[in-house]
Amino acid sequence: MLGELGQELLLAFLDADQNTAAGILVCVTTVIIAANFLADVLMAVLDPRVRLKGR
Amino acid sequence: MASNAATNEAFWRFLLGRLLIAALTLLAVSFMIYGLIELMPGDYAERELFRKYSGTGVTITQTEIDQVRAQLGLDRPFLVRYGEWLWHVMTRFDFGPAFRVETSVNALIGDKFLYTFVLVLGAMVFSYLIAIPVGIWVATRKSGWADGVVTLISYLGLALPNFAIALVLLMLNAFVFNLDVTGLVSQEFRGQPFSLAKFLDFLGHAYIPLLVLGWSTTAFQLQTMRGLMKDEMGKLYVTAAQARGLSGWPMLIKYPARHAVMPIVSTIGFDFSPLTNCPLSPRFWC
Repeated sequence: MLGELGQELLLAFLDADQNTAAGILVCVTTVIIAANFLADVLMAVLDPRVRLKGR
Repeated sequence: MASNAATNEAFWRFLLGRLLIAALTLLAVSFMIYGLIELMPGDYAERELFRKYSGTGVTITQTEIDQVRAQLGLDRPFLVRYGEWLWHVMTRFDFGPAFRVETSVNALIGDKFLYTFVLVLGAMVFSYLIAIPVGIWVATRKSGWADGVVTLISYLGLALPNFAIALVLLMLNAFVFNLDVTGLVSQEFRGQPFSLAKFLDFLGHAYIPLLVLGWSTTAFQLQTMRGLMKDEMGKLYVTAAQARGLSGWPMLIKYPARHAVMPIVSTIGFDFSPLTNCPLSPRFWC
């Protein structure tokens, strides 16, 4: 689980295993990006002051 | 009608821009990882041979290293390897072979990532579902006892280290309730392929990690909500809304809560941090 994946990432770095290291980090980054996107959309829904600039 | 269409267009434009930035970020992340590892001295072939023969007294020759290198395809130039990897990720969602464990990266990450994601997401939903309503309720209470109890539970959640909560919960489950606490799925599902029954079984086991992951987040969000809500309640627009005859939960949700919930919404990204600082997390559910 959580710990195992971190362990794998560390071992992948130490072993210069590019596929594994990049794979794990890309997955984690995708989640972070999605979460921040969700936050932005919810902000726009909740706060009438946040408006999309349509030009 | 016209303004509606304009809003729609703006939304799609925003979405498209966001997706573009996301794609670029992922590209940059993967390139940086690949490139930084490339800059390290040595490559995987050398490390594998070292691990295999260290301490055995066998002398490794350059030919052997070259052989392993060719076998793994590491003798090709950096950009070719990176390009191929990227192409396979984009076209087949295939992260390539994981050399160290001699399987594919997909097999290595697959289940672990899914379960971790479900756990973190579950803990987040659980903490928002508790923190926001309770925060609003506590902020509007006149008497102090509810506030005191909620604050006490909150500070316990913030002050107790996660691993301690986890250990106590495991002890309780094992010795008081006599439940199976090892692992996230029951014995009969170990090593089985993913199925609905296995997933349901996982949810039955997930409440300990959910509580451990969720308690401190809940406490933090609850205190944020309570403090901001108390601030908002004293403002004139709330008085004005009350003067127009609105009251109770509809008024709270429509006016002050919308503002008070902002900081919580804008930090959704941070709440996924258990996923990223995984090496530091308690590992009892591995």
